[in-house]
Amino acid sequence: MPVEAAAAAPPISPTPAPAVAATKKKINVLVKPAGGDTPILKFKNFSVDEDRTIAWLLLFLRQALELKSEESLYVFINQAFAPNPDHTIGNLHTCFAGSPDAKLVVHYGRTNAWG
Amino acid sequence: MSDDYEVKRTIWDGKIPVEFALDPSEFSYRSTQSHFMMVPRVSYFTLVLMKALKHFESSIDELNDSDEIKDAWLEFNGIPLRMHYPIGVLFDVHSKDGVLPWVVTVRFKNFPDTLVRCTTIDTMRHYFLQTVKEADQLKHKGAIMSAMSAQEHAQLFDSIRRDDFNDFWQVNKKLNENTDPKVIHIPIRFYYADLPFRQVLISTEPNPESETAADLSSAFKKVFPNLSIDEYNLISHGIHVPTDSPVLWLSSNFAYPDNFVHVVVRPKNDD
Repeated sequence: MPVEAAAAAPPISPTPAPAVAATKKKINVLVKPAGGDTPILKFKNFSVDEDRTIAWLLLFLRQALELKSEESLYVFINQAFAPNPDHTIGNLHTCFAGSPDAKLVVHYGRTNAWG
Repeated sequence: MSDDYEVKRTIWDGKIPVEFALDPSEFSYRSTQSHFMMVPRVSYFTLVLMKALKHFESSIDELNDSDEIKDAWLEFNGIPLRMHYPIGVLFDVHSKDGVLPWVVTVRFKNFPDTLVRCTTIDTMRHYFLQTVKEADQLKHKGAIMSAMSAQEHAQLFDSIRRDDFNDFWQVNKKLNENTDPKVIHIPIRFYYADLPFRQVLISTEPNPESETAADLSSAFKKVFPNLSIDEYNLISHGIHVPTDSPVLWLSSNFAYPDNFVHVVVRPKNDD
């Protein structure tokens, strides 16, 4: 992975190593069902590396919910929009958690509830 | 903040000549067949690729009666292109030497696992509108998008497909509203090296030290506290954006149709 390779490389000037990735934070996520016929997860809280993507989160939740491949799943931020799959959890936490210590609240559902 | 028609119009009309080429490993005996198109920077490959594919479909027998064409994807210098990003962003991120036409390889086999599937108009519409909603969450806590009709949402997307500047701005001017309600945060995405894009909260408040308008350099500092802006060029729509550009002006006039300002960060010694 480019992120890890960059972090491991010695900082040779003049091109600085991508300092962005050097300090990898964990983000606390709180997941909530979006209502309707949404199946309920056995857990509500978990923490992930900030560079994990929404695509990863969708896969993680699909496995936890034991969804079949033809069943759809959406995740929502602010009960308002479905972030693009390559958005990172770190970006979304910074922009939409409300404060640095707050959890990132993610709603999930089988339909595009806030389409 | 000033509303600059000339800038908006010039950005909308920005085009890139693209050569769609076939991959020699997939079509060994017709590797020279290419299709050339002028594509709008503010549009998406998902929307323009259809035309290129029609060209290939009519000239290559193997592609007739084949489902492969639906799974077409694009590659530049061996890197898969994210078709749900605006074309101009992809060009600024990937084409470091800016050589034109931009030669993009059309692939039909081995769709990469890492690539987001965005091969239909419906998928593209979904990703586009969700991105506009996200931008409006930052700008107005979502007040404008949620007050719009479904017809207006459709007009935003369809006007890109039809390359209709007036139709687009008829709706999009509402998303630029800065009096009632005022813009709170500026939607900006920064692309640096091979890392995922970075997006943080960029306030419209003046810099506390200097009381000057929040500008691109203060936004850069917030996103990359460890990088020195003097060593980088900040590129959007193919030009070097002055670092003292106020972020509110950039948002009103320089954003892509998805309402985000997309800035590519490139070391000066690369240029």
